[in-house]
Amino acid sequence: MGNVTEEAFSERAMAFGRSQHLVGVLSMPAAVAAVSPPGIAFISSGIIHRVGANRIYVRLARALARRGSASLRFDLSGIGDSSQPDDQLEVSRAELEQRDIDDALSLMQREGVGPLIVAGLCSGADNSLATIARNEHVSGAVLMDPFVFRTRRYYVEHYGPRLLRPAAWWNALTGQSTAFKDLAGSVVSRFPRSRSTPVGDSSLSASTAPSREEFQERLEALIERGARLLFVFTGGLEERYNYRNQLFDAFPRIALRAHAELEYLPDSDHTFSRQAPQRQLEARIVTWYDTHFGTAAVR
Amino acid sequence: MKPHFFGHASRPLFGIHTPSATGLSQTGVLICPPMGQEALRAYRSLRLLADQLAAEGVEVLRFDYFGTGDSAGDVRDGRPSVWLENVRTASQHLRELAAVRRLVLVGLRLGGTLALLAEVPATSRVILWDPILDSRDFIAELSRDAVDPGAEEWEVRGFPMSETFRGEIASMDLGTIRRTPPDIRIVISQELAGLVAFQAAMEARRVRVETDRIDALRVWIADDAFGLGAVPAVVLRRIVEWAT
Repeated sequence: MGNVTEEAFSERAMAFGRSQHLVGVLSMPAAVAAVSPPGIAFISSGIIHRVGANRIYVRLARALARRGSASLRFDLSGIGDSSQPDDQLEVSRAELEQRDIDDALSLMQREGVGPLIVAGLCSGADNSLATIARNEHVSGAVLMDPFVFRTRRYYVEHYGPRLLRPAAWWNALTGQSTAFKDLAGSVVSRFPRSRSTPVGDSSLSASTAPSREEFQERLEALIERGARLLFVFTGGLEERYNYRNQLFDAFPRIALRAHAELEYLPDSDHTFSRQAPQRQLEARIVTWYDTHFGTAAVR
Repeated sequence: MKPHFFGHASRPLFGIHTPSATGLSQTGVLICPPMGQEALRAYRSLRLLADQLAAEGVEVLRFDYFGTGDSAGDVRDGRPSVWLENVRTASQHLRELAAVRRLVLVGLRLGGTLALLAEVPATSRVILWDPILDSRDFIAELSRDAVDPGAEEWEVRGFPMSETFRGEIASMDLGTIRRTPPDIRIVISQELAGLVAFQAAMEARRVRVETDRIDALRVWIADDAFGLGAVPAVVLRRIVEWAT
């Protein structure tokens, strides 16, 4: 029974995990390097199975494998082809998923993969950040449309253009405007909250979303550790992120710019459904990987 | 559940074998997925269908066509003529894998069309779930979803489709089938272009065709990106009844 084999890499389908409940595909480069470059675990996002939205995980895994990097794309418990583990009732869903990711990283280490990187879109990004924050064996993370905090400029970018339209004022005066109601609602809603309250997010429930302080502490710890982060934001979630440096503005007191790279793709939707943003994403991740973890960087 | 690659070494296909839960079985069910975005959205339903079939005592194989899912190949390498051959390869693989004598093919949307056109020998029944029976109607549907239908390469709900690809879709004609299965079951959840003509053509060949309309969620097109988990349980139950 064959595996996917190109000259540069091969792929194996595997069942693994503490209950043999997880399903994934391991991509391994053909060439054996003197120093094993980091391998990437692609974490499934939402209910989309391990190939990723519009198959982008497969595209990224194979692009990296051709350049000598191993990867594992896999389904979290109960997603895609993965089943529920024996310990499913013992812990929260968030903890269960972290255990699944630990299983995946352990598999990669058993297969001889060197340092580890985690990557994911949306909830896969949130899981990736949680993993790298608590697992010191993980040295990098690619976070695509992760949980994020809004800033004052976010609101200016969001509401400003509407406020300049005469029709918007007419609608406001005649009670037809939803923009003004939304603005008023968002202003009012901020008063009872502390500054650390996260603003709405679709991938994390309110009970599991970190506060701004927790998020900042997490980032500071990663900077201290020398972890490498690549944040990618798309224009697909305008209600969450709407200008290039919003992430940096959200945390002005930490040296995030020096340790994290940021790519903003305003023309892409959340799932990279167009071919051009897929190419941009692939090129950006490959460049980031080569810069920080490629053969030259390792030496 | 056994994930693996199978088929030709240079063009392997990803498959998941779900063995019969009741021991040795004489019946194998091959599930043929739809294409493009539809395959992603229907993935959960087809996985649960496989689980339910295996629980009833049949051997089940799901697979990804070449250039789709986890199978080898770039997205632009996959096209209907290749996928037809993939259905034949997967059918033969299921026979060898599970030593089954009776083969049932289940196909959703384009997967149903491919299941019929593949003309797999010794198939006892083909079950079509909202199949594509009118290729011109399907091309029109793809054109409505294409970002720029005037372009040479269409981008349809996240997947590129070349002119060659579309030409192969347009030339699919169920009237050309030479080896018809003895029994065809169709479950539909929407008005189906070409259904009356197809039924008439099959009945003229003395093929038994039974059609059941079940109003259910069209999971392959569910538009909410966060609602991909919905499963049309009644449709799955009917397919399991027909296949076991």
